[in-house]
Amino acid sequence: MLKSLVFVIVCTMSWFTSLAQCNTAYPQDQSPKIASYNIEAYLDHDAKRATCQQTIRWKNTSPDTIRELRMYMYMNAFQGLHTTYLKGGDSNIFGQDLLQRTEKEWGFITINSMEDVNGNSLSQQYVQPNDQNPDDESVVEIALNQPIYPGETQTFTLDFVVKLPKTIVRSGFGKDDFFLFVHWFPQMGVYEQNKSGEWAWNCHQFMRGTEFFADFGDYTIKINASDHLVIGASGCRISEEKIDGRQIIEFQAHDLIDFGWVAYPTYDVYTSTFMDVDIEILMPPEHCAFADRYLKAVEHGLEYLGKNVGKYPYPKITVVDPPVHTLNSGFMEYPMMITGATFFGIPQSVRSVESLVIHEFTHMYFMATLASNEKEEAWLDEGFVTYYEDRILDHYYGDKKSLFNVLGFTSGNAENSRLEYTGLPDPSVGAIARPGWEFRGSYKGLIYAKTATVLKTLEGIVTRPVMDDIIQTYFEAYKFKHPKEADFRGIVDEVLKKYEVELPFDVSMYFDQCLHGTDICDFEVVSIKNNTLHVRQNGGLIVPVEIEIVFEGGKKEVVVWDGKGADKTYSFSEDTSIHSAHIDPEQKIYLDLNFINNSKTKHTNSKPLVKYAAKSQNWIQVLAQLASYLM
Amino acid sequence: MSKVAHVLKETILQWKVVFIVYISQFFFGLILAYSMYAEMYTSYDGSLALEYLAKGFDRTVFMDMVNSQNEMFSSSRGLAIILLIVYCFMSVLLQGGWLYTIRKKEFSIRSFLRGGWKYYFPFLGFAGISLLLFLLFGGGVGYLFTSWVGDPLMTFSSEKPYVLWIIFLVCLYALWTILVWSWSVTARLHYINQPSFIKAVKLGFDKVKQNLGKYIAIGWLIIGIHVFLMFLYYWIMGDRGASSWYIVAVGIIFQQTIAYSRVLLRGFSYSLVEDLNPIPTE
Repeated sequence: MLKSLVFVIVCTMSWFTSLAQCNTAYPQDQSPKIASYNIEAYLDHDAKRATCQQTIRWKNTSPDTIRELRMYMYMNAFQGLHTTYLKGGDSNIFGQDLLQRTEKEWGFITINSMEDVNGNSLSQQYVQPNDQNPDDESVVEIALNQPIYPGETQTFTLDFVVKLPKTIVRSGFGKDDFFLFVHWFPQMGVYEQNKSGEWAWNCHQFMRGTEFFADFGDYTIKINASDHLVIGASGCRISEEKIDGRQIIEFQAHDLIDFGWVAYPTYDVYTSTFMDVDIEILMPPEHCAFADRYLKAVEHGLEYLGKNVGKYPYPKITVVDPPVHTLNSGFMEYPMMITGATFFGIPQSVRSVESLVIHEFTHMYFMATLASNEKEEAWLDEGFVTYYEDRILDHYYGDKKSLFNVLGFTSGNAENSRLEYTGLPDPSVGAIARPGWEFRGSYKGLIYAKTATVLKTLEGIVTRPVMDDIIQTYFEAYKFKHPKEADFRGIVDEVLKKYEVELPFDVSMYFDQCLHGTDICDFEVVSIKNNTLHVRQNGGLIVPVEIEIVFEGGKKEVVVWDGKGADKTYSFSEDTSIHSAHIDPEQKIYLDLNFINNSKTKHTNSKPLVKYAAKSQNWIQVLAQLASYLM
Repeated sequence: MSKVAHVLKETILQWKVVFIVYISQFFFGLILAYSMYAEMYTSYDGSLALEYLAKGFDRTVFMDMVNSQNEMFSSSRGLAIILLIVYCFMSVLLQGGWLYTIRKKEFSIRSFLRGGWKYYFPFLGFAGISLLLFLLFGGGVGYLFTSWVGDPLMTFSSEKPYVLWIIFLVCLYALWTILVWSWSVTARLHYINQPSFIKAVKLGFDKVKQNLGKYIAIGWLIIGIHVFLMFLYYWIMGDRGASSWYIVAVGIIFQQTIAYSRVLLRGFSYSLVEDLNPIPTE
């Protein structure tokens, strides 16, 4: 305890060095490079805005002739309360009363001019494909003078200005010249086949519950900023010079779907290399004691995912820790850059710090590399990430104590994820596989926690080695692509066929029920009478489950119930009566809402009941004593 | 040194009174323990999940019960609040008898009961003033802090000063608690000698002012020992599970030993304060 206390107060780090350079030997041609960007940004830190020149190189990989482009203008979601992102919601978001905002605290992005490669000026208009809200300017449509034919690549140049809002969520400025530039430049939408097979722009307005969907490409970003700022970014630092109180830093990155950067004067920079990956951690001085924890968490992520999913495809990862006044900038992932969040004094035995960093780092696999559509199918990203966050934390810190272990109170990370789902006021509130903007509450409990629990349950049924093979095959097949639900399910079928796994259930129905349905799972041992066992499924989910029966005298028998039908009665021909029955004794069906009613025994173990009753007595004695001093 | 030995000796002489106070707390706790046991027994309903709890704390087992049997905890919570309120009123009675025995150097149960009944209502007045002072100070400091700082996480450049401020305020509040408690005990001791409420109140303030350093030292000593006992409990017990009746019994005995020590410590603190306030000679 004392050691833990000393650690969180005193910085034990001594490994901060100069700013990192990347290992340039990594593969730079891994993606189809549909949308690539060159941006020169001049940051006016007093005005909280950047004036930028941008070049976009876009390749038409469709069979269509493209006559107009669609681009995300994310920052316009923070123009005011009239935008689709903020409209209709609570004006108090993340503890801030947005009604009290001054003009300077809002943000925007404006394209001043845009030309094609022949110097033709291109016209632009804002469009609202989702809700026709005329006040929303988060998507712009550019009419082309010269169409882009199938297979052709065209280059465009733009001048744009981006003004950061005072941080509402993610992007923004904070006190003391903190700037986080994410979702900050005009970014191409994705021209792809929709569900009915037609090619069209997939470029949604910026709405709550949505994050990324963009094509892969190369990025060269040159930032011109005051030299009092410490800058970190996605990508590798290629060059750096200082002139007249300004610094000009060039970053480069290949095969990304987005690019973010951060600036803050007092950042301490810690660097390290692990498994040939450069790790750069930017910490405010008051959080220096956490740098080592951040580093360890990233190393665990690199090691575990490298072994169980695939090789980390980039040469570097930047970890940004936001100061407390811009905590809303934290908890996020961007390609090759993640933002954590911590608070002075969190002891080592509370691993919220590690849990978060590992979660965000895992997004480098499920988001940055397997670039599913996070707006329409967020579960493919957040759910898989949570599943691996659970596995990594439990692997390195112990199954039942990985998240916290304080004074005898412990919790595992996977345990916590399940409880986030089972603890929902109504676990059958809605389906997982829905666009993010359709969720009203329960987003995390369903998208993150339920999906992770669905995957852990699948793992319980097919075994972990098979599950690992499924995910590895999925990663290899769809890295640097935009996988969808059908792609993942196809891989599951393919791998299960390979193993010739004879499942006592229909995996396709399992996914249908778990992803598109709202059925719950709650097995119950209803009664034991002599040699007869009555079990029940209180929910509608159909999954096979093992039942362990122990007879008087100690003989054990395991039967498998296919989970079909609400009730099932088993009669055994043993001479002795049933002593106990336990449905799913290994807790493989992690989706079960209540494990307590999964079993029954004739002889209740009352020792723990006495122990906890005595503990409650002790608490009353403690409080009575305390009250006596005050009276 | 001889004074400390004297106070310790006097504390040991109080064992009967300490035992009565301890037993009263014990029975109040037992009411809740019985209720919790009965409710948990019904909720777990012969489940093998109890085997997990026998191995140690298991959040899944607890939370599955909370999620499925939430009403059980709300009824126990309600019972605990009622028990505490009743105990607060009873505590005034116990304290009256206790301080009476210390003041009169008569550590018999008869003296304890006599003092408790005799001074119950005046001591209820002292308790009321104490509570008022705690609440006013707590509310005042809290109000001033929040109105000055606003939203602290947005006001400060770092949370470090905020955390340090909180620690400072906790220490300040602990100091205030020490002063109010010192006054409260001192005033009651003087009331036993000269039953004038106003005079006792005034004397209490005067004496605390005169021996401020000593009172503060006693207060921090008592708080320190209490914190030590709490950590000792968690350090030794942690979560040992309940795999055998022997382990359960050892746990309960250790728990109750600590509970008895806490009450004994209060007797020690009263004797220390009494030592600072000898009965005035005529």
